Amino acid sequence: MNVLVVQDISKEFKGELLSTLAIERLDFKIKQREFVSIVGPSGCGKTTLLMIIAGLLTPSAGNIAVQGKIVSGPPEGLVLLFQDYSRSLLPWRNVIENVCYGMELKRQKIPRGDILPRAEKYLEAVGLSGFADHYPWQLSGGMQQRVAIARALACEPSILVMDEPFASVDAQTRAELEDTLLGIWEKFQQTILFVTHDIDESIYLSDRVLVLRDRPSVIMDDVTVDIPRPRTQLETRNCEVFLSYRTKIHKMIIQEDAGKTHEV
Amino acid sequence: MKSNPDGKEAARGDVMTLAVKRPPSQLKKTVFYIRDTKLSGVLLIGLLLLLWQGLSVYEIVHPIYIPPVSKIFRALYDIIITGELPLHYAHSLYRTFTGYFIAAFLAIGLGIVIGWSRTAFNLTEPLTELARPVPSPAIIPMIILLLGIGDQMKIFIIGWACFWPILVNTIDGVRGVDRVVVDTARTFGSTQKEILRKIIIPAASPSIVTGMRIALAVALILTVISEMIAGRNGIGFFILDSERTFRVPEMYAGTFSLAAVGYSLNRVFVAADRKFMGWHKGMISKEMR
Repeated sequence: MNVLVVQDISKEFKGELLSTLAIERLDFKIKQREFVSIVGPSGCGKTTLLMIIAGLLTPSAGNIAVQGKIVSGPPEGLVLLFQDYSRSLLPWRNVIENVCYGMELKRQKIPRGDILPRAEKYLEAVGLSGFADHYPWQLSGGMQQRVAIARALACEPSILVMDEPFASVDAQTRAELEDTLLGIWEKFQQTILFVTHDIDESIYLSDRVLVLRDRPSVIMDDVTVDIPRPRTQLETRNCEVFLSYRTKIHKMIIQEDAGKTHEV
Repeated sequence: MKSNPDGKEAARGDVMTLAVKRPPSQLKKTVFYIRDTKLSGVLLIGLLLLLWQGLSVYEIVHPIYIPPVSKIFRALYDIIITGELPLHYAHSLYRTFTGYFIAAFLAIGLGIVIGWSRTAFNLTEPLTELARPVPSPAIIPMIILLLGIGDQMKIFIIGWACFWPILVNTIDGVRGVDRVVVDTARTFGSTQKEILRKIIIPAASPSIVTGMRIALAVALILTVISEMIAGRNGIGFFILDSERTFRVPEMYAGTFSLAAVGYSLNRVFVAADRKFMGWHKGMISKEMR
């Protein structure tokens, strides 16, 4: 079953003098329990696409359906995780209260008594059980993003959408977070749409990688990553298949870039 | 002596031994303690009062117009014991707080609406920008015409003056709420009401509290002014009346008492601020580091 269907999405930003076509006829589907990445150069309209999928922007044309329901406004069952964890956490709430935020909302229909145990469960899943009483600003960047992940998971969404979630942490932390995410994905049988500009990261994590071209955004290729799981940072990233995927996607993006330059 | 090729290290070693040899004397410790704490500030106040006392007692200044501090404190003690001063304060603080809390209630409510709705902002901004800079005492005559010289007038003036700083800071606070936080809340499916209650109000609260703190000082100022202009009681009236009846030490005592009251109100405010806004203090101090 398709959890997310993106159907012929276009987005045009109308300015007074000229309009920009940010996204042109984008089309893809994500099945249950799939881990799909969207990779593309910075500024290629990835964030715009996510805003549309999350119901924060309306597309100029086309439809989004989450769990078979056409999206108008933030869809039920979808949670968007922002890159900027330090701004998306609520500084007046401590860690556990932050995790509770999504569950407290009327729409989630979670009985009051279930909220705290569930928050604790997901806080443990991201490895932060001991930090429930801390405030976000007392934590490192990687830990803050873990809190944001726990908060998203706690709502038990049918699809988790992540916008370059690990872009602003150091390499070491990033590798740890990637593995935590894979662990969670498997444990909770989550469906994930992951946006990144890091080709290696997209291959390492995903079942499928959608390669995006920029302005207007179009899908250049839909690469199925055929690398067995469980994957590990050292072995997977050094195996030959991984490297060939990497070369392939890299070439696609570079050629596209070169083509662009000639056009200009 | 050790023959050390690294001269620098040897030198540092020497300094270390010197420091160990001579522990600071008790006197030095006391001086450091005074210098490094606010005790120095308290001592300064004591010194200034002493200077005042001297100038007055030795008649370098006119002791009738500037009586010695001892006389002023004596007068202060007397007017407290007789209940004269507490009675005036009862009237004053009733006005101060009634005006202050009515203003806070209205300004926070309106400020949230104006900060949240672009339409409301456009509609009201020119008006508030015009009304706000008018010094509040300037409208006293007008309000006397409309409300008379009783408590109503005074509470209105106090409320009017408190309203603006709270309103402006609330609007700023609400408008300044990070888009990412609001978007995050929206993706979780928060309703408008939930965003307002769970996101906007807490996020704007540090700014609202700042407005309320400014307003508290303003409230005290307008209490005194409005009481000096009209009426038969209150601390403002007492100070002016003491001057007119030539109770000079009492006049000074009234003014001194305002320092204590203003200080205490601010302390209470700071304590409440620390309790409820602890998260913000922590966050800010972390950013400063």
